[in-house]
This record gives sequence, structure tokens and C-alpha cells, in this order.
Amino acid sequence: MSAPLGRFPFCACLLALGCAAPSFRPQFKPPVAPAQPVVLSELTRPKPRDERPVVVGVTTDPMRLCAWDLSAGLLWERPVSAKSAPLVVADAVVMQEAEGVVVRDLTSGEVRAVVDDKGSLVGADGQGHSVVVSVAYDTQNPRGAVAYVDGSGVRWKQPLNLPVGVPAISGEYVVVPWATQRLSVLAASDGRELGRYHYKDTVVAHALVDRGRLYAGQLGLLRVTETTLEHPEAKQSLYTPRKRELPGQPPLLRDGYLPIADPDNAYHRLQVSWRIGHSEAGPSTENDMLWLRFYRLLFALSATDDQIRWVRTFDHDLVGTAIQPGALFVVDSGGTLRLLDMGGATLFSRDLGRTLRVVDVRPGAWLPPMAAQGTSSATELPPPTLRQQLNAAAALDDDRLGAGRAYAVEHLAAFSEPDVTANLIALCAARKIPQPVQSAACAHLAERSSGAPDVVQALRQRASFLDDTPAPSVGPLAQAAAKMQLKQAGPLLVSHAEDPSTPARDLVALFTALEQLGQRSAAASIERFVRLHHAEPESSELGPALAAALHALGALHARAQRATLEDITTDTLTPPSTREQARAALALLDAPAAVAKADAPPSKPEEDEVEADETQTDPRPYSLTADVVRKALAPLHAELSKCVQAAGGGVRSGRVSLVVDGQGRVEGIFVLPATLQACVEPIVRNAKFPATRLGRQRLTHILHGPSATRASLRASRALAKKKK
Amino acid sequence: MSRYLGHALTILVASSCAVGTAWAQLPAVAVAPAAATPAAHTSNAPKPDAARAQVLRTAQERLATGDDPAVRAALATLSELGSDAAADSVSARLHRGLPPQLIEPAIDALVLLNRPSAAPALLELTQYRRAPIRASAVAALGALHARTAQSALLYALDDPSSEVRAAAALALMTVGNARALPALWAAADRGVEHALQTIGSLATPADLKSILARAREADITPIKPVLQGMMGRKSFATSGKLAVIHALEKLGSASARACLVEWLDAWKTEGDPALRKALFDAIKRLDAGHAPIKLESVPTKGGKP
Repeated sequence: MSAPLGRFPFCACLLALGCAAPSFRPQFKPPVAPAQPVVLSELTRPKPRDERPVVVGVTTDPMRLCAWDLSAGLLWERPVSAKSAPLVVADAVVMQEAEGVVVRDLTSGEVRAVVDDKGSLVGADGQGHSVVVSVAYDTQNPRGAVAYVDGSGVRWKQPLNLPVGVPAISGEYVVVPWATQRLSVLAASDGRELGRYHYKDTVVAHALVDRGRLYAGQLGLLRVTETTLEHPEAKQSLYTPRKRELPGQPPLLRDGYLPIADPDNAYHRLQVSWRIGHSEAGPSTENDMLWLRFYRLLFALSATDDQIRWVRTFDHDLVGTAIQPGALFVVDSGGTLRLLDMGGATLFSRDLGRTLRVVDVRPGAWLPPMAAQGTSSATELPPPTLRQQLNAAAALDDDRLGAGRAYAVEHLAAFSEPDVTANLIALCAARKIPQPVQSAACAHLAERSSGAPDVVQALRQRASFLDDTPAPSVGPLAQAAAKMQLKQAGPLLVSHAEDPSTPARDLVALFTALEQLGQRSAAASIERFVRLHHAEPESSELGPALAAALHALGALHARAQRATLEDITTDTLTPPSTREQARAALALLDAPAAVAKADAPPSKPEEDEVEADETQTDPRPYSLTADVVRKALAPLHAELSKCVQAAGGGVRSGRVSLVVDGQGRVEGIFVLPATLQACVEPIVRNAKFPATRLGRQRLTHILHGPSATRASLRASRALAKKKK
Repeated sequence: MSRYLGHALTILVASSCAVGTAWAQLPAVAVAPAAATPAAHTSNAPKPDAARAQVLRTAQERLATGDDPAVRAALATLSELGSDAAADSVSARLHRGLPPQLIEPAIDALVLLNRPSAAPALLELTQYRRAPIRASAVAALGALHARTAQSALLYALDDPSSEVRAAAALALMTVGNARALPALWAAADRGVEHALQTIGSLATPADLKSILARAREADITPIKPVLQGMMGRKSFATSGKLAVIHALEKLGSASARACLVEWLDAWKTEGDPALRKALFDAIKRLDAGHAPIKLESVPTKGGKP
């Protein structure tokens, strides 16, 4: 709703201050206020500005305020005690300094006016030689003020007992957002209020002029037109680029009622930058892109959908940006100014010669000569594909970037290529990596359905204190293996289940994966885990793993393990919940098997695995594969089977874990069940393994007694049929 | 840390090379703690067979209950009883699985019972998820001289827990053989506690060359515990010990000389006279300049040696 002209709440203060009232003259001439239609018409008419292309920044030690003309170089350098980032407006620089809110001359750096020595700088705008500045106070009355500074000093200043937002100058008028929903138009000449508009439907904290067009808003931008001014009570449709979850949750527009942050505030390094554009269809986003600055990362985001166009990494934090049609200026804290094209390539760069805390870039219409002529060539290029760019961003070694790197991982995981699985495996297993990055990588790794060889290869890795190798991320790898139905991962998962280096939290996924893979051969190992640990207290970190292991025994129909399950159900030293889980496992074990998924043929038998051997002259194989181990142990098969046979006690198989050094020498042998150790160890010691390039390896081999072989089972069945 | 491991550690620390009077006793104490020997139980008055059988049955019944104090009492009774059947009962109970707070007493009982048949149950416990239990099981295997446990102990040298690794290195001192040396050297390189002492207790004279090769710039400080172990062993031949002395003399470094002096000081009044003489002569020759002392890590000036 438009208010009648002249209803002006500031006048009492205005007269008291005596800085804006017309001078006392013998002949009184009542001031002439322009009619409302005139104001509206003039206010909404585009008035492009001619602005000098500059960068103004606050340097690191010693703290100085510097200005560079983009076409000429350093303009000046002044020692300051900056309390905010600088704002370049018209032919001035406005900044909160120790002395107060100071307006300096852009050409010389000399102080033109100290607008206020008590308040905090909220925003400023300028045109020609005129500058309008808004200030916030800690007091209740006044809570804010608007000041107008011309070429010589403060022309007028209007205090207000309500907060004031970021003002703008449009022609002869000053547009001031205040009290969250109000927009007032003041006369630039003396600060008289000429109009007031109450936007009941939206928040108004910013007024800004871009390429002569006036906009207002906070949650989005509203083009200020005669219609929007005449009907402020109507529901306003604000323009914003597509909103989305971003790391650090930077707002699309900073809160226009809050003071500008100090030069070292992280706000200046973690920002979304976008520029309002204008097309025949109405407001738009310039270049259809917005940029997320996250310290050393720069994400170019689509304005219309939740997609990343490209990502670049920098050696230094980005401390300022300015958007041009078809290009982006960025300045880093190392003092390099770059002009990037819409693909992220650097078209132009210049060393400003100072390390910087924060800068304000105002290029105006300026472009480097080569870029302006369209003849510049890219000097720095981001990696060729978005996938590679995202991986480079995710892997950047900087702990401050946790959320930004996790954001890169989220988008990286959207690619289905097998290489991405390898990237996620590396990120998930990285030792010194921020937790959000690792969590994101592991979560997405568990969901992968491509890159099976990488998953198997990663599962082959074993934690070793002596070799200083970390444990792989067994949990997510197990989930991925289950999703891909990698039967060949089964024995590897079993060996990880028996490895004390495997974290307890990973055991749940591991046992579940063994169940999903239908690994009945793992039942003995799972049973051993259950038998050893079933009496752990309910609060034990092994509780979830026990539950998963018990369920797996039931689901795998591991009838040979029935005795253990029954024993647990009656063992009063076992917590009741575990006993209940054992009972449930027994019920599951006795339930008729569903469609025998477990017995389905492996999607890719281990025998078929081919190790991709790079071209090289060393004749040694890279590592001992399962096939090589089988071949090496084949001559000993008969003797080993006898060991299993002689063990008695229902033992039908055994697991041999070997440590073989790079020369093929057996360093250690560990046999389970332990009763087989004495018999099996001297036999396996005679095995001959080839030397490898990989070095020391841990291997697992399953022994079967003659009664456990499928061939003998088949033979006995056939015999039984014949007898019938 | 279990008490038998703690016992052995205490002795080891007391017998470090700096204490001249104790180091010569090292071989005698490095074998097994007294608590683990059968002699420890011989003081128990023998019980009549029927009474023993009754005590065994009662203890077995209590072992099968779900009552924590009853199980503890049964373990104590069985360890006092000292028979194969008692050991088998404890092993079987461990095999069935016990709460963590009862596993430690059960391992202690097996060590006190000192029966080789306990090894499989202890080997299984080297895979327990709780590191203190793994460490106890590993130490118990050493205390029981379970020769079949060497491979499991070599695995345990690579355990994520330092407590388990140290226990494994110590246990290998009693059950290890020369095959354990490469893994023990790897463990020593990674700073595993007791690895060097164990190497000293397992090395043969043939290993001397490779041991001395690890003395960079003739500084024997890093391998001193190994040499101490070799010189302190009764099973290490005098000719081997003379070879060690000769090798140190040949090295001629300050650390080598200091070591020789230390040994001579420890053997002033006791020990093999041949070794005393060899030590004395070696130091004398070094001091006389026949074998000039090499100063390790001292830079030369002006290109002169």
C-alpha cells in the first residue's frame, strides 16, 4: 500500500540534527515535493552507471587498505584498522574502521567523511559522487540510520528507531529498506521521505541497482516497478536461483540488517555469489550460474537445477568474486586476480602483489583486452571431466574443507563409472580425512553397483602393523560386494571377520553380506565368532555384530552349527537378548529354505578373475592369487585332507591363514580349528610359492576333508540310488 | 596384563644390560614364570582318587552353571586339582564361550594347570575381539611352552594392539625358533616391545653377521638388547660369545667399547674365565690403539679421515 507523500517519521530527528534542513533565507519558499507518479516513473527508469573498474582489498600483516585499477594497477595503499570488509560504491570506498564508518575517496584513499563513530556498517551504495550508507546501532533508539555523503562530506543523516537495511541510490532518490517489510523513498537532496511501501508478504532487507534496474528483497529479489510499488500488499513473486542444500548453508543474499562481517570472518570465504540478470521473460540469473566459494574450492552451480557444472580447486582461499556476462572474476588470498570463463578455465590472471584478507571487486564493464576481443587463450584449465574435477575437490588435503569435500563426494557418487568406485574406496579408507568426507564416501561406496574388481582388490588388502598398512573399509566394501553379488569376496570377508583389526562396527555389514552372498562355507567362521563372544554383556559394542552373526547362521541354514545355537539358548551367562536372537536363528535355520539363492551360481567365479597386470619387465607376478595358492597346495592336497579326516569331532573343513613373504617363503601358518594346526603346519611349510612383486601377503585357504567334497557327496548319492 | 606376563616382564626389566649383576641370569628366567611350572602345584596335598573325582565332578557341574561366583570357584578348584581332566574341563568351558570377566580367570587356571592340551582353546582366544583377552591368551601360550603356537604368535606380532604385540614377542622367547627371526626383526623395526630381547634369546652364532649389519656407522646401541640376550644365554656356545666379543672389538666404536666394558664389569667375579679374559684383552687392545676407536656420527673436517 502506498502512503501519502509527506508522512515522514524522521522529521523530528532531522530538525534536531540540523544537517538536512534547508538553510534559513529571508524569502520563504515551501519545498516542492514531486508528485508520486513522477517519483515512481523516475525511480523505475533504468539508469546505467559508469563505474571505474577496481579491486579494493584489506591486506594481511601489515593491515592496509589497497585499491587497484584493473586497467592501470595499484592506485593507493593506506594503513587502516579495518573492522569490516570494504565496499566499493561510486567513487568511494566505505568501510568500518576503528574510527567509525569511514568513506574514503576511491582515487586517493583519503578520508572523505566519518559517517558515524558509534554504529556498524550495514550497507552502502553510490552513484557519481553520491554515497548512501546505512548503519546499525546496539541501542534501542535509534537502532539504525541512513546517511548521505556527497563529494564534500555528510549532507544529511536520518536516524530511525527501527533497523535499517542495505540502501540504494537511483537517480535523485535513495531507496531504504527498514523494519523488515518496509521500503521508503527519500529525496537524495535533503532526505525527505517521499514515499513508503509496506510489503506484508515478504522480507525486504536489500535495495540494489544492477545495470540501472532497481531491485529489492531478501529471500529473493523483486524488480521494483511502478506496479510493485503501487501494490505492495499483493503477493510478490521473488526471483531466486534454485535453492538447494549447500555446504556451510550460505544464504543466497546476506542478511541485510546485519553489519558487514570483519575482514577475517569465514563468511567472506564461504559464500554463494550470483547476479541478477534480466531477460524479456523477466529476472533471471546472470550466465544461468551461481558460484559457491568454499575456501579453496569453487563450485559452478546451475541456476535452474541442482547440478554442478564444474569445480575448481585453488592454492589459496578465494576472498572476492564479481560476476560479468560470460565470465567471473575471482581474487584469492594469495593476491591473484583471475578471470574465469564459463567452463572454469582461466582467461586472464594478474598478481596484485599483496596477500589479502578480503576484497571487493567491481569490474564495471571492464574486461581484459584479450578477453574483450575474444582472443585470449586459457592459461589454467580444470581437469577435463566433471568426475575428475569432483574427485580432485574431494581429495584436496585441507581439513577446513570437510563439508565442501563431502559435497563433492555426494555429486561424484552420482556417476556410475567403475573408476568412481575406486575413488570412493580410496576416500573411504583414507586415514587422515575429515569425518564428513569419509562418511559420505563410505555411504556411497556401500551403494555402488559397478567396479567389482576394485572392491575385491580392496578387500584383499589387510591391516598390518608391521607393514604399516591400514585396514580397508570392510563394512562399506562388504555392502558393495553383497549388492554386486560378488561370491569371490566371500573368503576375503571371512578373513576380515577373523581379523582383530576389523572394527566392530564393520562386522554387522560383514556378517550381513556373508548372509546375502549365501556363503555357507563361512558358517564355521561365523559360528566361532558367535561361540566366543555370545556371553558379551548387552552393552558391548559387539552386540549388533552378534545379532547379525546369529541371523546369518540361521539364514544360511548352517545345520552343522545347530549345537552352538542350542547351547547359547540355554546358557544363563549369556544375556537374554542374545539368547532370544539365538532362538530366532534356530527358527530361521529350521524354516524351509526360500528359493535357493544361496546356491545360485556365482556371478563371477574366483577362477575367472584376471589380474590386470601392467606392462613391465619384471617377470614375477604381482601377487599370489587364489589360483596360484591352490596350485601351490595341490600336491599336498591328499595329506591335508588326511589331517582334516583325522581331526574327528565332526571337523569337515579347516581354514589355513598364511603369511608369505615376497620371496615366496612361508613366514607363518595359522590353522582353524586349532586342532588341525599341528598336522597341517608342517605340510603347508613344504609348499612352494613363487616370488611376487607385492611382497608380504596374507592368504587364506580352505581345506576340505574327503567327506566334505562335493564329488564324494555326489558319489554317495549315486550309490544310494543304485542300491534302491 | 596377565600376571605371568607381568612376572616375566619384571624379570626382564631387572635383567636389562645396564644392571650388570642381573644380566647374566637372563637365560635362567627367560624360559617360564614360576607360576606356570608344575612344581608350583606339587605343594598341594595329594587327594585320594575318589575324593578327587568327586571334587572334579562338583567343579565341572559348577562350571556349567550360569552363576559367575560359582564358575570362578570352580576354576579355582580345578586349577588346584591339577589333572588333565581338570584342564580339559576348563578348555571345554572356554570353547563354549564365557563372559569376558570370566575368561581371564579361566586362562589363569589353564596356565596353572600347565597342560599342553589347553593350547587349542588358547589359540582360539587369540582371535577374541577384546585386546586384553588376546594378550592374556598369547602370554599363556608362551607360559605353557606351546610349541605349536609359534605361527599364532607370529600373527599376534602384527596385532593392532601394542599390548598383544608385546605379549607375543615375549611368548616367542619361550616357544619360538629361528624361523621367527624375520618377523621379530620386522617387529623390532616397528618398535614392538621385547622384540629385540626375544631375538637375542633365539639367535644363533650364524646370525651374528646379520645382527651386526644393523649397527649403522658401527653404533651398536640399537642392537645392544640382542647382543645382551645372546651373551646371557647358557645355551649360546662360548665360541659364539667369543665371536660376539671379537666382532665388537673389530667394530671398535665407542658404543662397542662401552658394551665390552659393561660386560667385563658384570663378570668381574663370576662367569666364564675365558670370556673375562677375552673381554679384558679386547678392551686393552682397543685402548692401546691397535684397533682405533671409531667415533660414530662425528663429522670429519677438511676431508681428512
